[in-house]
Amino acid sequence: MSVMKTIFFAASCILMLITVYMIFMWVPTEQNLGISQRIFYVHVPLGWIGMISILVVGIASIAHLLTRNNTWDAIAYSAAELGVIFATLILITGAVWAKPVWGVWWSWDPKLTTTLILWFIYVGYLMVRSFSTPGSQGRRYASVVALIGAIDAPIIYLASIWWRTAHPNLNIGPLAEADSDLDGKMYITFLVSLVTFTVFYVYVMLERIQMRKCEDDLDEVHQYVSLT
Amino acid sequence: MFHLLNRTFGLFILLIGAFALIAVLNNSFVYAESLAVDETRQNGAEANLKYLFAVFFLVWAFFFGYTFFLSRRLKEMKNEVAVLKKIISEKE
Repeated sequence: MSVMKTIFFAASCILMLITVYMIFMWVPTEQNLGISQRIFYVHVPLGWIGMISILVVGIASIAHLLTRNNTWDAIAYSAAELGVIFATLILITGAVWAKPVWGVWWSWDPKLTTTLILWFIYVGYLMVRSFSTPGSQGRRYASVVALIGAIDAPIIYLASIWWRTAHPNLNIGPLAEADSDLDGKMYITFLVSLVTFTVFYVYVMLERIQMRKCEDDLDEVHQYVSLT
Repeated sequence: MFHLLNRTFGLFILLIGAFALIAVLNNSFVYAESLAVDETRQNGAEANLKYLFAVFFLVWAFFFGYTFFLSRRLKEMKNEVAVLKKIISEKE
């Protein structure tokens, strides 16, 4: 595990430098949106991670409910915590980008609204975990919240197809259009950025999972010490 | 070791943030050759640079903050382990 973490850490450092270089030095400026379009290379990968994270929480929660294995619970908790951070960043970067492009910080666009719901689901999951008593019951309740939350991920993805939205066409995933609006360099930069954020996410996830397991072990020792 | 790595990563993020800040302040970004660049400059699109800077600053600040949180939590856990070891040895 520690070797894997080192590899992902080193890879994310190198990729971050490459991505920053590509975004600021290499990729051409988009004609209509100008410089602000470069926010796209950060905003969309953050959105991707936000959606992946809730799916990880959902899958790990199902596995925890079926097996009662605490490792799955540690994965779900870690993914939820990271999900809050990434979902917060999606909303913030989206708002900052919306201001120069749409003229407003926020609009009740379907994609924005469903992303806000995702953020509330993440926060709800963590609140259930923090307010419940130590033990398996709180974990099970939180798993149910996560399963409900996982339904939101495909809704966010399909929002620009199902409803009229100011967001552009899908650039990523199984339903992405073949004739993308992005030119070659832009598309390459976007893909590199996507890989970078994904590698960074995996690294932080590994770190957080290990820490979560330590926290659980410490709680058990605390209980043992208080009983004896 | 990973406590150290966390700090290193935090430092790395800080350096990137500092680089971006200096680059923006000096207006020293070199943009790729594009027909669109002149057009956007004429339209005053560079005024949107502050939004781009804000996004990068916030993203790196969040990443740095979270890495710092992990690092601090790890330190707390090490202290907890030391306290527990002491309690157990006293009871024995």
